[in-house]
Amino acid sequence: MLAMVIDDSRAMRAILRRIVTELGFECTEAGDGQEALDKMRAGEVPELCLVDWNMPVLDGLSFIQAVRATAEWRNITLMMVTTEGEQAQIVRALAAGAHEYVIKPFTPDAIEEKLQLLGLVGVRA
Amino acid sequence: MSTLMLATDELRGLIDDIWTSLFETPLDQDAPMPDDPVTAFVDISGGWQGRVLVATTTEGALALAAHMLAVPESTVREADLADAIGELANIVGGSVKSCVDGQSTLSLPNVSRFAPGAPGPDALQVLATWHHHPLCIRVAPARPLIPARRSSSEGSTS
Repeated sequence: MLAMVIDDSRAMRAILRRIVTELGFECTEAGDGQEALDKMRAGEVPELCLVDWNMPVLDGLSFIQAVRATAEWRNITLMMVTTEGEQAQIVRALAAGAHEYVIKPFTPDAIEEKLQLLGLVGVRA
Repeated sequence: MSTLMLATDELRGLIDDIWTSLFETPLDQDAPMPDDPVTAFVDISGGWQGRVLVATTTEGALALAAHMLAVPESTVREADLADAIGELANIVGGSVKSCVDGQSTLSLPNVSRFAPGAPGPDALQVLATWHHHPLCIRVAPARPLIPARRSSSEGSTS
């Protein structure tokens, strides 16, 4: 299963890559929403996107709206991973089509727990 | 007009949570402001306006970046160092923004090498160490631009 980590921070992408790789995903990266869309239009379509909100060029909310407006991408699971912790922002992201929402800072367990809720990783015995 | 509902001890708690989540260790004892620091800041705009700043030494930024990237310090490039300290400012800024009532927005991080100077009287500041590297985290409200008041002897006809 392919996960795409979309964040303008290379350090944050590295952290998320380690977590999802540990959970059995293959991983690809994009530095902003536009780069992610370009990769997807070129055929690199993931099953899961972990998306930051505040990014240059194309922010995470706009990326989610673009993905949700594309019929052939409707099965992609979108998880927002962001510092935007206010309730109103969470509601906006979920209304735009995000399935889950994780606030930075997070622990690996928090990411794993959300992916378990989404049915993308199994529950450890 | 929004207010920031945060005290210095609560800021310290936020920062300890962030460092524990990302680096598995909370910050250590107080330390002096780092000399010649790498400084990253994000600005909060909206009902409450201000700046959230994270500063550390070059060695500290190098250690933080190496930890986040999970690579040896010898392989960390200048761009990685700026990226890591910028992301930390972003995370601290987001946590601070969640303590502002009402709507506000967070800027992308800016990173440069400058000493933040002395904090203003209304700033919150935490000085600490991480693995013996000094760190300064500061939350400072924007200074309002107050137009110069005319003196009472100027043009008064009353």
